[in-house]
Amino acid sequence: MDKNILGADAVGVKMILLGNEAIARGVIEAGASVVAAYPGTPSSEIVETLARLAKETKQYVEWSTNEKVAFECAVGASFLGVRSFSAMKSVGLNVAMDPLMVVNLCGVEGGFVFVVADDPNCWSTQNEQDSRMLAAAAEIPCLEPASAQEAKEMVSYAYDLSERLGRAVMIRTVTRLNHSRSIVELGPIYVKQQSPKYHRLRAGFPALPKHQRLHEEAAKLQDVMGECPFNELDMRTGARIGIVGIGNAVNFAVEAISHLGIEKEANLLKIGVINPLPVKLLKEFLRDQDVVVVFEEIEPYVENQIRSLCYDLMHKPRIVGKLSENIEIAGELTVEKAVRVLSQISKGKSDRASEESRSEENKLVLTRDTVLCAGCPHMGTFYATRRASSKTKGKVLISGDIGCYGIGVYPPYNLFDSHICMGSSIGVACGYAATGYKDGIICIIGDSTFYHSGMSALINAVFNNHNITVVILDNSIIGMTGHQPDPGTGVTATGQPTKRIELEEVVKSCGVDFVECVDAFHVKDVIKAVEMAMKHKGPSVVISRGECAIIRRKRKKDTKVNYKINIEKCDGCGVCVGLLYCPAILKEKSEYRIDKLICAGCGICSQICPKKAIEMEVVTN
Amino acid sequence: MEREKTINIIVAGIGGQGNILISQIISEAALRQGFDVVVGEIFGVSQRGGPVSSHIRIGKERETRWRACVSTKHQADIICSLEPMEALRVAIPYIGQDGIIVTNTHISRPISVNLGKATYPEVSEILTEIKQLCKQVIAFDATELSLKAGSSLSTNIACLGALSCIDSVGLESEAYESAIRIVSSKFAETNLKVFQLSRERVLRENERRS
Repeated sequence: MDKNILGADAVGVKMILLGNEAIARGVIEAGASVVAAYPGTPSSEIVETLARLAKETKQYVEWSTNEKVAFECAVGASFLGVRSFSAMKSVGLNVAMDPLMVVNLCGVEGGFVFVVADDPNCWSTQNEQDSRMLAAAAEIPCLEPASAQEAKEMVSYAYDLSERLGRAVMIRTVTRLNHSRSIVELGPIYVKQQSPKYHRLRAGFPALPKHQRLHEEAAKLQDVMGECPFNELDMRTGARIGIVGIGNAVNFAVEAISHLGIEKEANLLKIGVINPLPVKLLKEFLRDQDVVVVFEEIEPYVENQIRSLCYDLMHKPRIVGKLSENIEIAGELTVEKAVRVLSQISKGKSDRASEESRSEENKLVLTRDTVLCAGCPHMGTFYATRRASSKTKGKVLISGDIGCYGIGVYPPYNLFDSHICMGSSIGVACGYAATGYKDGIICIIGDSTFYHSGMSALINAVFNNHNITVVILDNSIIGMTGHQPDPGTGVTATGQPTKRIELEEVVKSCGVDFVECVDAFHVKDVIKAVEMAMKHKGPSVVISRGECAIIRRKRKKDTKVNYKINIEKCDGCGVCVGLLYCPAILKEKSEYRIDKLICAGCGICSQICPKKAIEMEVVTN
Repeated sequence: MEREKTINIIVAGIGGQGNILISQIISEAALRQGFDVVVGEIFGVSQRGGPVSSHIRIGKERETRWRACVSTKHQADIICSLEPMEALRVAIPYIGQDGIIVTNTHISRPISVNLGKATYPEVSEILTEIKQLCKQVIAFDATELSLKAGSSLSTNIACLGALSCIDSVGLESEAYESAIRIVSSKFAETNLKVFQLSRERVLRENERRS
């Protein structure tokens, strides 16, 4: 099906959609007019889809500089009565937490819904945090869908709820929902003229009565959300095992029930409303169970509340979940985990497949470390940073940041000495410097991460005169999450030309005296610049500029420059692959060669080969 | 075609080989034939050059609203791998005894091999190992076949062509073809050519055997 139909009035059409595309369709169907976000896996495709369809849907869609700005931008639109939307990954909510903790008090005018995509198993996140607890901390309504179809419907419901209550509504998702595809039936697009209109002052103060009211409204919220269609109770006559599936986890629960064939023995409660939990329904359910099994992603958030509800009920079923240590806290739920837990409870029932023993170890299967792409500009900058820092006497500390180059923290690179969160490389380096550490401090940060939250840390370095060197890897795009534009790209989310912010100018105006801009593909220049920067007293910045290899490959289609290793000259020292970790350089027996299918023709290897054995050849397609 | 049970297909490979594209094509083809389908994928930077797999579950009309987007261990019916070691990596936990494995024989070396810290096994060793885990293995150099049609970038489609010849999947070649046109519109011409070449290769093999 043509994906452009997603933006059209096409009621009843069935499409295969990514969870994130279904959410995007939900935002379109709900008639949201202003969308602002910062990309982050696994949430990025939501706003990417909206940006692609913006021309047709007439939505305003922007990639903001960070999640806090995005959140505030969406909230601002809502204050003027316009429906607005934001999406972020789990750790993105940490950045947006500041405005959230006041927006919960001051409320909203136009419907404001935001999606937070948690990442159980840390597929592409530095931690495994459960944002349901942050929704609870903010005391705002929170929903979690179990399918793409439900996600789409939840968005529409969330907008109505947001306007009915005058409050922000959060939708929590997990990677397996965001990044799974299933059939979704499109609904009608809600069209209501929303012109901006000033209503009244929006502020947290007076905070005390507003905080008090948040609690008082909790009971009302129970009534309002108790009727919603996202909680489902399925009771079986005589059954005394109660299975609770929260959000996406219900899928694993149902699958496990069917594997074990215990459909008739198990009562099932599917919960889609996370905050407030459907207390009335839960109590009604809990009363009849001898055993309660709770399936949820990440923390035992609902399990905890079920324990407390049972206390109120003076009923003591056996409660099985993460707190009881029947399910591991870390890692995502799987059918196998669910089957294992349920087979322990329903005695005599076992799953043939899970019993079959098969060793998962096999000496033929090698670990596959993730490396930078062939032709990646970061490859040469990594090499140059290592070279420049190896010339000093002591150990140079290198603090890393979040982006593709974040893999510098893993083997085979092992380049970083610290790696925390977006923009943190510079702040951490300031701390290194504050201790009086003398042997050199380098930060490695990408352009988008710099605009996101590195900039204020750089100003801090200047303000407090920290002796650090910041290497900005500038590919003028957000590479890791799928090439969304950033302030240095020169286009907006929807492809409109806009003023390109000059990174050098920004850095200079932050007060940095030493700023050197080099071509990332000229390794010697990068080494020289980093060396000079490290000699400079006070904060210094090297901007290492080069186009993302994936973008270049897409752009340059006609001629292909390749490199090959001249066997006559190569003495097999292995410096090329051993220091660049380029996936195009292969070792076959004791000989090295370059795989033409992988080589991107960047030529960095030819610059570092001690024997000058790597030569260019031009292949014209 | 009548469908008795859910068919579980896993597409394996390494980041950048285009396995998500073929899972999109298969699911689109399934939708066109009126089946229910759910696909579980993992993507993000952690998979750049690392192992990536997508699970496709094709069922008849949906019986329950809730089901897992990934196949249960030891219950995959088909694995379609774009790289031989990845076929083994995924086969060990997932393939069922009656399963079929389609795999490219063109290898992609982990960085540890190029650093001289590990040795990539002989492909024949890998194939012997996966043959012990399932009913049938279809192994061929999909990269070479794709190159014949002009671009190594269609290696994934060459593997898809072989997968499309497996009857139990229950999808017609026309359904795949229209899905290829929609999902990979920019490269549809090359992809359709590779798809046909790959199907012809399998049919020739089958003829030779019988």
